Amino acid sequence: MKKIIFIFVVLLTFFTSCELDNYDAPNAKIFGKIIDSETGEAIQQEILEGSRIDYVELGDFENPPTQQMRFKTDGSYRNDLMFSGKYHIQARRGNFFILPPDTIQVKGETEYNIVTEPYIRIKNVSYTIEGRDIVASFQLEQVADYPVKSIALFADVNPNVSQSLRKLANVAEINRRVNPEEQFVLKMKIDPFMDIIPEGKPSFYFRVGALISEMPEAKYNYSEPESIEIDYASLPPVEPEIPGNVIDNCESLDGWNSGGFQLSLDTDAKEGNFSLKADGQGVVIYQKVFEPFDTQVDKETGTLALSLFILDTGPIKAGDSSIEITSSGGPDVGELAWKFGEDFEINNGWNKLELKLKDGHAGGDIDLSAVNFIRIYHTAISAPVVFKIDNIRFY
Amino acid sequence: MLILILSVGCNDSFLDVKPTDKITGDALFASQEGIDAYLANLYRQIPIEDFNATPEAMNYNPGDANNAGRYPFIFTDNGIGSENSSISPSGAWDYNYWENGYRFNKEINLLKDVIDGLTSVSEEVKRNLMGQVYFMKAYNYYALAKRYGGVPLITETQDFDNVEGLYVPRNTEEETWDYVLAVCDSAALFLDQEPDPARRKATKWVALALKSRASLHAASVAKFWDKYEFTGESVDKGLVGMSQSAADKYYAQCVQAGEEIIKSGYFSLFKANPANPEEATENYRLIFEDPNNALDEVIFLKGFNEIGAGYGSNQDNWGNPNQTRGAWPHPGRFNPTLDLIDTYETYDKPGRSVPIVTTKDGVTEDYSGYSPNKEYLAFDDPQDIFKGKDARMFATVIVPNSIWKDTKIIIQGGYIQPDGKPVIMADESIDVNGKTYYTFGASDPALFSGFSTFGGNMTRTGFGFKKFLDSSYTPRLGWNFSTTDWIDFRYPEVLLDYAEAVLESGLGDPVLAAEGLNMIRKRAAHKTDIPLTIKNVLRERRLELVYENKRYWDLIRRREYHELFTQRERKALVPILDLRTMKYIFIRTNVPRGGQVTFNPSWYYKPIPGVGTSGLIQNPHY
Repeated sequence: MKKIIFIFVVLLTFFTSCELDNYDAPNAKIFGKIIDSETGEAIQQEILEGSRIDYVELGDFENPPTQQMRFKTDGSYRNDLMFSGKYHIQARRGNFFILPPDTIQVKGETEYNIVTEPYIRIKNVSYTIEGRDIVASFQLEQVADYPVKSIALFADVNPNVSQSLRKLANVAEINRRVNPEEQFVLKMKIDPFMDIIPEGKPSFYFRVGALISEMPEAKYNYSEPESIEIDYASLPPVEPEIPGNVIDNCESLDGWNSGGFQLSLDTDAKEGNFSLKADGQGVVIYQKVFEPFDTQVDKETGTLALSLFILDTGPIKAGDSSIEITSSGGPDVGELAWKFGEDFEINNGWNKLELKLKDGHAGGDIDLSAVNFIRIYHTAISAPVVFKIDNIRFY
Repeated sequence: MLILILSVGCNDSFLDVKPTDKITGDALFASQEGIDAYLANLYRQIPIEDFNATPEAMNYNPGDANNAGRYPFIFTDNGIGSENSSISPSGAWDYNYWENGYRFNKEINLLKDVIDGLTSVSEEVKRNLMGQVYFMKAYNYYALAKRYGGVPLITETQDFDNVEGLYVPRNTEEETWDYVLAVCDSAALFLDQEPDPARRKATKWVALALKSRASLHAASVAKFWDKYEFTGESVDKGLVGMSQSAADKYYAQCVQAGEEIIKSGYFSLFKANPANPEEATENYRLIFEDPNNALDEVIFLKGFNEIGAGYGSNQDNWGNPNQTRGAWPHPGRFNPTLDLIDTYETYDKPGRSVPIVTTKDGVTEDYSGYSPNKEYLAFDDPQDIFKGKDARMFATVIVPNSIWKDTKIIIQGGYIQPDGKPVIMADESIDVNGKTYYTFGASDPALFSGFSTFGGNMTRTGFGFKKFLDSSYTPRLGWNFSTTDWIDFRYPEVLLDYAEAVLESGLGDPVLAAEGLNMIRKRAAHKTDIPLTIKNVLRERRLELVYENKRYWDLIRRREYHELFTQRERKALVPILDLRTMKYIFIRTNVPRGGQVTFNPSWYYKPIPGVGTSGLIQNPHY
């Protein structure tokens, strides 16, 4: 008897639960794009941890949940499993100016585009292979009036390359406002690509990114992904590493100061991401005080080497300008100095300086195991000039 | 039969019968044993992040405690798991504490209800019990606030007949922290004014240490809010996020709590003046092997007195290197990273992190692996490369070739053949001059501890784990055999809280703060005082408190996690035997099979479960 009742109960449960639930299946679709109102083009997105479209179904619900959709890389989105009805919808937490929540009616196949502006437009992107580097050059037009936090070059084998989906990246913190004419350059060494795909002529996807500061929850703005073939066989042979003990690689402004010059980091670099750029006119100095640095060289055989860029040497009078190092924490005491145009030649563009320590003008005895001051000094420059220095080292 | 079933439920007179299987509050609290038993049950629910804390659970220690050694520190830059590369096994749901937190809160409220009606105990005992209630409330709401921001403050037992009244909305984040700190003050007032000799009971001093920790967290969240600014309804309503002025208010409270503890004179550092670094290493190790030997610097201790489910831990099981695993089959789970090792100072460069240099050019930023073109520094003994490093490092991690429990711990990742061919991370052997050499340093997996993929037992960073391990215990086959006690509050934490609060706010006494900082360093055999700077304090905090489950929350509260973990690869140091010279060289490299990991800033606040039912406003991004 018990057994029969048990079976009966089991069967009852079984049959009652066999009915379909009384919800309707999704019966509507939504799709669209996020569009830059200025250019009419879609605003580039990232698929992993990217911008979001939050939507809440309106109707007779208690505590309706906020649902979300994500954009594809090209800035489009689509959801084919929606219910017909009224929704609050808002794209947010992204790389664009947020619009107030919109109320929309979704029915059948509904197109809904978000028309706004990106925080930053990335323009005129071009990629070249120079030596064993991939070089991306680009310009930035910032729409949001805040400093640009960082610029970046991302690479991956996946066409959806982004900051969260990349095998390799070069991120440079710039933290400043930019002007649309400015030319930016970011490089990536090709050798690490050989760890990903070791041989042949593989293609990788590249994308330039720029991140605004101050805007809450901001995400990178991107250029379109671009596929670039790298023919390993055509690369020039590996050049031996530039030797030397680097005293300053000019990747940061820390410790540098200037009278008369505007100092900034420039992406036109001989090493790393940046060089130190100085522009000004008249009597100008830029200098750095730092922790005592052991050059590990001696005065007879040692060399101070650096890269020096001069936009136009015209206004610089030979002998009036000099490069100085000291071990006294300040100028003139315990010093070695070399004069522009006399102790070394200067040309427009980048100059590779190799200053022999024994040829330097001495002002007292310098302690080469504890160099702590470097200064570039000009007594009279008759017109505006631009200097860049990079990769200051001893060997 | 059906009728019978339906009819039994109709007789409800049993509801009026006094239960015979329960005792009244008065009977229970009439004796000290009764009080201790009741409090012990509550104490074990305090959300102390001890040996049984993982991102999935806290105070969770069943018979089969198979959390695979997912202790909080392997999800930071201080460590990585031998088999677990993620920094977030459950993503946003890591460290979820909502249900357990409110269950515990309900139990604390029930105790509070009973205390009021007690007639059999003295006012003094009642007062102390109220102090215990405040202390546990503060601890519990601290645990909730640091995860969720503002939460509903349920200060009284809820009336379950009043259904609408059960829906308590969230308080703001600032109200929640204010409550936590106010309750700390109440606890400090009501609890015993002298420290507990065994350091196991909450006293005024434990309440103040909690206040120091909680106020520093609150102040940091307020101060560094801008580093990742959230938006949304919960932000607009102040349920998460606080103003800059709140930062000053909370730093002031941290300074006040710290000064009271420091000036009380009750606490000092264990063996504060070692003769040399070797002695400092052993002193530091002893603190954690058995904190009961170092009670001068312990403020609050959680005992793990017995083996077994609910009592012991699995620290020695997961932590020991493969060679000293005893009968336990799954050792070596915690792997200290090179990132941590690089952070330690050397005695000749005080106040600076000194990365391990492996090549003659001194470059430490190259992780591209072995290259015959690089000139490597060569060492007779792998330990030599660590010469001069901070004493505490050698009590925290096992370096290659060092002795642990009378065993030389072999950690080697490969060799360079006499013909110059490198064999790295592959299981091979070669005969050279009649002797056989093995890539991993020995012939059998039982005889080495590094880099092979054997059983997930081998370190893949080049370092073994040592802190907290019991040098006299050989792991057995089974769960929860470790009975090492856990120090929840240690005096150095308070000193470093204080120093940080002084620097961040400009309040308090910078001389006292610098003294605290350098006192901790002196105990680690440093001879040179370093200046009180935020960089120095944060470095010291990371190193002194490493693996004490502070780092995760330090990165959260200072909003550094997403900055430090964007597609980050943690690093390893691989010792390689060069068979041409019979010397060891080292490769700085990404942790093998580690991969890039990213901290999603959403996780600065955890999602609140069940908002569909409770109607609570959800945290941003969820």
